Amino acid sequence: MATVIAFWVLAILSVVASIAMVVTKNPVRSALALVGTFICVAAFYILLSAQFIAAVQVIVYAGAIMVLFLFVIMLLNLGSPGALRERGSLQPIIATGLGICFLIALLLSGSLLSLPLPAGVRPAEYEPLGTVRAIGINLYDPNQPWLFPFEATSILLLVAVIGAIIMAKRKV
Amino acid sequence: MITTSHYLVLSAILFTIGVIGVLVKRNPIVIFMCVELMLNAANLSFIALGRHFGQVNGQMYVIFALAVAAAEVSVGLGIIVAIFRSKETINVDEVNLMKS
Amino acid sequence: MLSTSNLAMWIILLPFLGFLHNAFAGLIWKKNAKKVVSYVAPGVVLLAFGVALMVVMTELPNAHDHRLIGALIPGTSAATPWINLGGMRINFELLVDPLSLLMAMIVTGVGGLIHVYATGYMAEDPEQPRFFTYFNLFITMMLILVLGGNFLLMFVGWEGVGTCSYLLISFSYKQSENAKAGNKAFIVNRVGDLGFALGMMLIWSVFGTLSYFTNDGKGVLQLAGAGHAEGAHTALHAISVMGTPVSVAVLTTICVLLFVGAMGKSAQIPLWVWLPDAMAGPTPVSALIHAATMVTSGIVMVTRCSWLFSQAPQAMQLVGYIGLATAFVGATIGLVQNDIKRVLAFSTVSQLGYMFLACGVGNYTAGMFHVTTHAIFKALLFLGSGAVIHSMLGEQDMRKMGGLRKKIFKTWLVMWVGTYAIAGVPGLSGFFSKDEILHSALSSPGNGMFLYGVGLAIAFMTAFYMNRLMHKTFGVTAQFVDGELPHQHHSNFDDHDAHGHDDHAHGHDDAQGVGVVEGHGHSQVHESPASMMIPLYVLAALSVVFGAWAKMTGAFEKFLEPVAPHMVHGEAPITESMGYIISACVAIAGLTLAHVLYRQAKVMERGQLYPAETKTRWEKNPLHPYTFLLNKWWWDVIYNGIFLKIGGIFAILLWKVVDAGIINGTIEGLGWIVGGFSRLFRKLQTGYVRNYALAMLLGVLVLVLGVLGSWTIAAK
Repeated sequence: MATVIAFWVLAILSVVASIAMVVTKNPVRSALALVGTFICVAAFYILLSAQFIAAVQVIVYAGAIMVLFLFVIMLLNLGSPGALRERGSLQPIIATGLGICFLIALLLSGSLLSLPLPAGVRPAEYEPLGTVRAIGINLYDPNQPWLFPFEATSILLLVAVIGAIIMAKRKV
Repeated sequence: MITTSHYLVLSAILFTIGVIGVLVKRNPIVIFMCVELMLNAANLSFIALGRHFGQVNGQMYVIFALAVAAAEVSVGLGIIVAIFRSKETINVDEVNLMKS
Repeated sequence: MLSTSNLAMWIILLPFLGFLHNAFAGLIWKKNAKKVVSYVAPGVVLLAFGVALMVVMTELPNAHDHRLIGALIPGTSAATPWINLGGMRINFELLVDPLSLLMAMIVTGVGGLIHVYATGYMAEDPEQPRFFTYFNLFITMMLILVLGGNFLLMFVGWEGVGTCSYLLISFSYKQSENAKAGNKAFIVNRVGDLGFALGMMLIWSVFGTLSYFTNDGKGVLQLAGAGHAEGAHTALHAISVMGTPVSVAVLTTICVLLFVGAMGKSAQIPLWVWLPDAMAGPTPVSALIHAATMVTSGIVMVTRCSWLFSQAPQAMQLVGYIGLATAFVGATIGLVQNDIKRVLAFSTVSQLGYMFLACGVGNYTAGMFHVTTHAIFKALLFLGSGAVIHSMLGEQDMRKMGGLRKKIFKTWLVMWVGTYAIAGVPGLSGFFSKDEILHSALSSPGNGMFLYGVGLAIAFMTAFYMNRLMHKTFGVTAQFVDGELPHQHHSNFDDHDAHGHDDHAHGHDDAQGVGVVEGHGHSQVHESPASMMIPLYVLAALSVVFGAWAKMTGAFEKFLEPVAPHMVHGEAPITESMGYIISACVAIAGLTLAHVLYRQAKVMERGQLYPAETKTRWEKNPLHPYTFLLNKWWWDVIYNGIFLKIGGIFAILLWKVVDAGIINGTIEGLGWIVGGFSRLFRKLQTGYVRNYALAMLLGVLVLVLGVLGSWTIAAK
């Protein structure tokens, strides 16, 4: 029962926060609203027994990435509302309409609505899968396909670091 | 009882909000945030479906998605800074080199 | 199996090499170009004549059925394809038979003499190499025309000689009337060429080939002549292709279309108007192209296709009547012309009509006989008139000549030979060939007397106007003062070189200045140089002996016998010797009448015209015979009226309504519609990334809905 209440509260919170992120004109507020959404999502992960991912979500997203965002906003001095005036056009209306249509189409696809929980999997059996231990064993297990992508990801991050530096450098 | 479908519907709603945000906003940083929101929505459905089938694969995907998102944000923000340097603005409507 | 000729290609290639040489002579020889060209150009043509003679002597007698096939390109065979498209195969092949060899010999022989003459005539023209480039190219093309082994190669030559004719008529292109005359010739010929091309296409669709003779016996002329070989020389037989008979109507259409081509090239009514204007070219051009060779290509073509024509009696009748009408009209106009070259031009028109008359009544051999003799004596007359013009420093108006006999006696002598030859004085070439045509015409059943009567009238007029020309030019009192002749400017470069080619023999006078020439009683009129006179002597000698030789020995008829059918059906009511006597009487009567009328100069004062030809009295009445004839039956005026005025109105209609209105309107309308759509769609291309992203979302939505739809359908 507690999980049901938690789900609905978090669901409403996350949707409201994300809507707020889109609606507000101040990018700093947008960023803060997004942090709220991220934290809600992290809570969902715990509800879904993915404790390690929840922790990483908070550390990487709500922590590092959002700091990066705020840092750039402050750096470029875009913080004040109205710095980027939204001119009247049909784009928001059309975009909202199309977006809702898209959502309805996703929901109509049916498979989203017809998945009962749990499908033959007990929470007790699934619970250990979200631990750091389980993640680590799976990630480095040579019999599973995750080792090579993991190493590739490290190269990706390296490239991203170099790229970000090159981009942000004043003059090459 | 909260079923997997609940999570999936929530994920769809968040994703759609992200889509609308990308289309509506003119501040590229906020657009980025919306993209992050869409990524998170996708991650949420991965985890939900991973639990649904009792597999660890969903979580694995999310780990990689997180890494890629971190890389993407760092490069993307670098680009934004570079654009701001050359144009003195980052309004996407004024960065319209594609219009002849 | 047809024999092959290895030499024939060189008849064509030699002048072609000459053409290439002359075109680049300036590059190769620098300042000596003119001198080298004046040896090379006649040299290659005379060499080609030698090759043609060799073919006649050595290859032709051994050939089966008097027919050889040759390759056009050295090192290849006659089966080398030029065009090979699916079912269409056209070879680089030559047909060497008595007809093509006869024409090759005329073209290279007479042409060679005219080349020699032209070296003298054009000696002072700074553009002499260009002239000989065209001249050699013309000879090449003419030889392709006569030697080509299929209709398409003949058409190549046909168009080639047309082009050369155009280039040479407007040789002095800086004078606009020359350029206009060239245009006129070219445009009128286009009409005829269209007929030829259509006829050729029809032949293709009916016979499935354009070759005259092929080894498998499927050539056009083989199929057409198949019945003749079995001895049915006079009766009509059905031509059949692959066992299917070809209807007479189709054959008639083919023949009429081909004849339309001949009309244009050979200046027959109604496409004859260009030939008199073509006299704007230098006189050797008139002699070579517009008298001796190119204009006879229509007759050659009709003779070449005689197996076809003989199966289409109506087409032959058309040929005959058109020929007769042209001969008559040309002769009447020739009676009153005052320009010495124009008299000869109309005489040419008239004689060409004679030749077609011969073809029309079925005596192709007589037509070709007249082609040959005419080539000789008309070249002689033209070259002689060129010598006269040359002596008169470019003057062409006979009213301003006169009294030249003593001054240029040799020219006078050869001109007399030519005149008697064309007039038909017994014993000379023209007498025999013309009489043979008249005799064939008389033999023609049904209308023989009519054809014969008109033919005699034309012969009478021919004798008359030729003698008139001689008297006005050489007889009576001089109508000019020697020493005061104005220099006529006919060269492009007279602006720089005050004494162009027309007065080149006065180089020694001119060197001391114009003043020496004028007003010092120094005779300007002079005999032409040897290079011009020797061809005249040769042609004069041929004019005398050729006809008699050919007739007496029968060599000509025997030579041409394998080529053309003798199609004269009826019997002449008079014997041949009777015909000779009548022809001779008519010719002498015509000469005598002109002699009586023009012997005495009626008016002695210089510059005044003969009373009989002072047209002031009549010039206001357009239907008075003199005015009527002087203006060429108003033919040009009528053509102008029809084709320029009415055609102009039609053209304006097409321009303003059809072109500007409908076509342009449609195009611009389309453009406007496209432009409108573009203006509409351009708004979509905002350049704003989010707009594009919106479109992307729309696309995703469509995809999702599509997938959903397909699921739904699959579920049912």
